[in-house]
Formats: sequence, structure tokens, C-alpha cells
Amino acid sequence: MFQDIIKILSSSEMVSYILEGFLHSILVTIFAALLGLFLGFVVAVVKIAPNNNKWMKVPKIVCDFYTTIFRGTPVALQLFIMVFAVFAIPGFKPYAAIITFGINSGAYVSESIRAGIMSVDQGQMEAGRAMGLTWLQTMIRIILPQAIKNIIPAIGNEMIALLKETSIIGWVGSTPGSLTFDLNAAASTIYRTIPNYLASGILVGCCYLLVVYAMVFFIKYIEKRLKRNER
Amino acid sequence: MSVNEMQNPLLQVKNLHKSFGKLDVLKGVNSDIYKGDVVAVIGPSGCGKSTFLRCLNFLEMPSAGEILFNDQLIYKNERVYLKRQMKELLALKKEQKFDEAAQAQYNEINERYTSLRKDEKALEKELLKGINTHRQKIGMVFQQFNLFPHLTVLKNITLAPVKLKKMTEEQANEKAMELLKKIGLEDKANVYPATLSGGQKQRIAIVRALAMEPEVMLFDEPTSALDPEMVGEVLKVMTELAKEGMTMIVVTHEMGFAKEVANRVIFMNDGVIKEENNPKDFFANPKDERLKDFLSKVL
Ligand SMILES: Nc1ncnc2c1ncn2[C@@H]1O[C@H](COP(=O)(O)OP(=O)(O)OP(=O)(O)O)[C@@H](O)[C@H]1O
Ligand SMILES: [Mg+2]
Repeated sequence: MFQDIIKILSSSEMVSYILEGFLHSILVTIFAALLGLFLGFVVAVVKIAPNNNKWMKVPKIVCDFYTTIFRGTPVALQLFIMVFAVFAIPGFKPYAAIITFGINSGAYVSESIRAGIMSVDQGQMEAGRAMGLTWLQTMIRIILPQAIKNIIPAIGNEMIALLKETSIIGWVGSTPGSLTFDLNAAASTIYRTIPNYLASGILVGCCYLLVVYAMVFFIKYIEKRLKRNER
Repeated sequence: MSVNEMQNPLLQVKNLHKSFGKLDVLKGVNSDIYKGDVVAVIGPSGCGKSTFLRCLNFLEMPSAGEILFNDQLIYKNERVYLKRQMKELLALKKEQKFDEAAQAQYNEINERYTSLRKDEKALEKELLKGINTHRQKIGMVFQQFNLFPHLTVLKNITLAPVKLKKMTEEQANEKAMELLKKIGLEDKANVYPATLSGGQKQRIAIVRALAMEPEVMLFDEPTSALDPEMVGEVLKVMTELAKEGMTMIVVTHEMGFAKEVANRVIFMNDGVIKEENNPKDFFANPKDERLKDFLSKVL
């Protein structure tokens, strides 16, 4: 097996596959994460807005529907439907996939953010409102800064899960040069030349581990910074 | 008649009702609060004291009644009574007793209801629009302090005045320092609330409300969450405030404060004001049976 690993690493073609996959995995994750964070944030705020506001009724129903559907069905199924039905536009495949991962992730992120906001003592909102701040002002200046400490670890988890979730992007077909050619696709491509799953698997697995390790480090750093202005 | 009563009340509460679903908490509270009044509100747990206070700044929306602030009608809902009357009349139909007289009565009420509804709905809209401006004139101090833990003491105090454009940042800082000095906590301006004792927290919560320069202050059991040795320092700040002429409504279990600082004491029970008097007569000659019983337990 070691021989096979050496063989892969000493072939510039194989190494370029891995590097390309590495880059694409990260890019897909970043774009999906940005979309997911944005969606998750908006959906969480809509869900948490007071019930007596009539303008919020329809958005609330839409958001509930959204989280139910996207958390309730497998992401692979969502991917196929989005790529081959909803966005069946030539050349749009990788973007459709990123959108799918983003929307899927947003559903989970919104629940993390919602839980974080709910964990802030209700008295904080009352204190803000009692002074004459609007709901949104109180939310932004008082609730969210406190909620973020509870939200960050959960979101970090979700981002790590998202990175690994993107490994199914190749299921809709991938060719080198396209964003759909991720680490997982690189492993399958290498297997065709050097038929040892374990060798390419270990190499690609190490790449994933490396990214996850960097993410964990980054999350810890943010958590620490947030804790600093506590007292 | 005292000097106070010759002018119009700052706050008029008429027949105020509040229900939570089927639970009727306030069942017709009437009270006029004059400028400079210090009103102590006492009563058994669960009788609706907090709910009463929270209706005044609309943290809870009342179910019926009328509230005037500075002679301006800000809340009014009478149509719920009419609605109930109409329902009762309609119930007669089932018993086959819905005669012509009932029909006539029903029509009359319905007409009044329809005309009221329009005005009251418009007023409600007005209230929702102006609710934040209204709240700026009413300071509130909570049992649990509710300081913002992620902000320094100074920021806790200046956040609202600056955000709501009542003052510039410099003005707000100056005002905050002045207030902090008054309660002897100016050295705490730049620390976070977590490092403070309960008494210090509550004094800062009072200052935070004062920074908005409110016309009336509501206190909901401000000393109930404190260790006994810290109650005094908070009551002292409140006493000072009363002396300066601040209008205050204070829900409290501190009978000493009610006796010595308040100029009116209110006993609430079963969602209504059962008795109200000046502190001397209130404690010396209670009339209501439940109040006598209550006082015998807390004094
Ligand atoms: N948001 C709410 N939803 C439902 N019921 C409520 C709500 N707030 C208060 N209540 C109920 O209304 C009643 C009166 O509550 P309130 O807090 O006004 O009493 P209180 O006189 O302040 O009592 P305490 O001395 O314990 O503070 C209680 O039975 C309480 O359970
Ligand atoms: Mg209470």
C-alpha cells in the first residue's frame, strides 16, 4: 500500500488531481457556507420575530416549510432534484450543487441560530423594549451579541459537516476542470490508474482532516475572542 | 386636597382589564397617578401587580379599559364589553328567548360597537406606532436587574439615549458619569456587570432607566432578588429619587419603604385595587379583610 501512496505522490498528474480536488472542495464549501449562513440568519430572525406582526405571517410559514423540507429529506436527493430538474441548465451543474448545499446547510444553521437566540434570557429583550428600543434594535444590539457565543460552536459543527457533505457533489457527474471535481472525485479518478482504494482514500482523507483541523482551530480562536470581553 | 391633586394626573388608568387566555388577571383597575406621586403597590403573589405595571408601558397589551398619559388618550378598548353583551344576547336565541326587545337591544349595541371599533382600531394603530416613544418616557426597573452582560456599565447606561438620538455620545457619557457619581459607583463605569454585587447591579439598572430622563419610573420588586444586606443601598437610591420629585410606582414587599417614602399605598387583590390610602392610615386602619390578613403576615 505504501508503494501505491508513493506512486501517487510521485506522479505529477495524480498530485495535480488531488490539489485540484482539494481546492474545489474548499471553494464549494466556502460558497455553500456563505449562502447557508445568510439564509440561516434571515430564517432564524423571521422565525423568532413576534407573532403579532401580520407582515411576518407569510414569511414565517415559508420559513417553517423550508426547514421542514430541507432537514427532512436526504441531501443527495435534494442534489439530484436541483441539478437535474430545477436547474437543468447546461453548464450550471456546479452552481446548482453549491446552491443545494447552501440551502440545505441554511436550514440547519437557522435552527442553531434560533436556539442560540432563545437561550438568551427573556429579560434582556424586555429591558431593551422597556427603554424604547425597537425589536430590531434590541435584537441587533443586545440579543445577538449575547447569542453569538452559543451560536458559534454549533455553526462550527455545521460547517465541518458541510465540508464532508460536499463530497457527494461528484455523484451528479464530474470531470477534471469543473468545480464538481472535488477531493472525492480525485480519489475515484486516481483509482482508475492506480487501483488501490486504500492508498487514494488515505491521501484524500488526510486532506479532509487537514481542512477540518484548520476549521476547528479557527472556531476555537473565535470562541476565545468572544469570551474575552466578558469581564 | 393636596397641591398635587389640583393639577391633572400624569397617568390615568380606567377600568383596566388584562386576561391571559381564559385567566382574568386584571379585572378593572382604576388609578390616577399625579406628578411627584410615590405609589407603593402591595398585594399577595399572583394578584397581578407585575401585570399592572407592564400594562402601563405596554410590555403587556391590556385587554380592555383606558389609559391616559399627560391627558392624552393612548389606549382605549371598550368594544370588548359590547362584544360580550352581544354574545350574551345571542345566547338567548338558543333558549328561544330572543324576542323583539332583545333584537332591538342587540341592534343598538351593535351600532355602538361598529362606531367604536373604527375609532379604537385607529387608536391602536396610533399606539403601536408611538409605543417606543411612549416607553422612552417611562423607566422600568426589574426584579432581575436585566443589565446587559456584554456591555460595560457605562455602555449599559448610554446605549438607549444614544441609539434613540436623545443625546450625543458625549452628552450621554457625561450624564451617565454624573448619575454614577450620585450613587457612588463612578469607578465602576468601565467594568462588566458580572463583576458587580446584586445591590450595585440594581442601582445601575435604576441609573440606566434614569438616563432616558423618564417622566415616571416603574419598579417591579426591585429588592426581591437581593441579599438582605444589599436591600438598604437600593432603597436609599429610590428614596433620594423620590425626594427629587420623581413620579414612581413601586411594587414592593418592603413595608418600611411603603410607610416612610410613599405618599400613597395601594393594596391589590383579585385583579382589582382593594384599598388605597395615605401610608399612615393605610397601615393604622386597614379596612379590607384581606388586607388586614395580609398585613398581619408581612408586618
Ligand atoms: N405572560 C403570561 N402568560 C400567562 N399567564 C401569565 C403571564 N404573566 C402573568 N401571568 C399570570 O397572571 C397572574 C398574575 O401575575 P403577576 O406576575 O402580575 O402577579 P404578581 O402580583 O406580580 O405576583 P408576584 O408577587 O409573584 O410577582 C399569575 O397567575 C400569572 O401566572
Ligand atoms: Mg410580580
